[in-house]
Amino acid sequence: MTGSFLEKGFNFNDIDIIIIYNKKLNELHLSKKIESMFGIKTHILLIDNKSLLEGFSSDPIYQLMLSKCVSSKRLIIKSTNRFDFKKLDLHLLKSKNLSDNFELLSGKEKYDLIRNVVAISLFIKNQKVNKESVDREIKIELRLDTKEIIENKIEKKSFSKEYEKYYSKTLNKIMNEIKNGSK
Amino acid sequence: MEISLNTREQVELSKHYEKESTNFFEIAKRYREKLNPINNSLPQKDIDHIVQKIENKVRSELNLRISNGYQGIDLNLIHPMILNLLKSLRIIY
Repeated sequence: MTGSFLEKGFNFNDIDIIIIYNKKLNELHLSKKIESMFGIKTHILLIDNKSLLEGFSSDPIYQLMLSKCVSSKRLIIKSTNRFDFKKLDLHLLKSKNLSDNFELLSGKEKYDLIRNVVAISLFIKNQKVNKESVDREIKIELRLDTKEIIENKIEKKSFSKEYEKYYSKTLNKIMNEIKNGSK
Repeated sequence: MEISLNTREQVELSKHYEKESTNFFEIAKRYREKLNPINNSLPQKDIDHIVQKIENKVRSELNLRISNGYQGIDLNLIHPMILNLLKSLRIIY
């Protein structure tokens, strides 16, 4: 079990559950069953061991997701970062239009998009990716408080300037790697 | 995003981005709901402006990638994809 459900307080919309399987299961049926049991919207990610390790080594969002989780069995993941810059470019693109859509997005949506860029940036710098390191980077580099972002209290003008700078820096690093022939 | 995905083979990644596309489509729908007339096509002048603006943005993103070594990106797909998207948003009827 992972995600906002494990954070302090009651500020969660759903339960995120990762099931590491050997046998294929019916994802939709399972999430419906859990939803009816607890009355909370449930997201289930079904994944086999190999894909989990692959995701963990190449995707900062997996690292973020698994940095805080509870599991029925002890979960030990040992892997070194593997950089697929084209994949990271695609992940980064998700956060591209945050400034354009600023007025329309909720605080939680803004935080998710900011967190995405920051997690990618930390990952390519080979730094630890977890909630604490991401929030620290947001505070230092973007001069923003996570709570204020989630509560949708940030001001567009000052935010956009810092954010665009940070986004471009991250994108340029990725583009340089792609240009130099990294995958 | 869809145009980039056509050049990639990773099934898992495309599945992930199908979900992302759905999320973005929901945001676009929220925009659409703020535009009048809600149940009719927008004036042609506005449609042309929107299409042009999106096309410029997408083209510039894709050109950046082409100049950095991406291959297999078909820029001819941009225009029809935008029209399809605007139809699904009931901006064009």
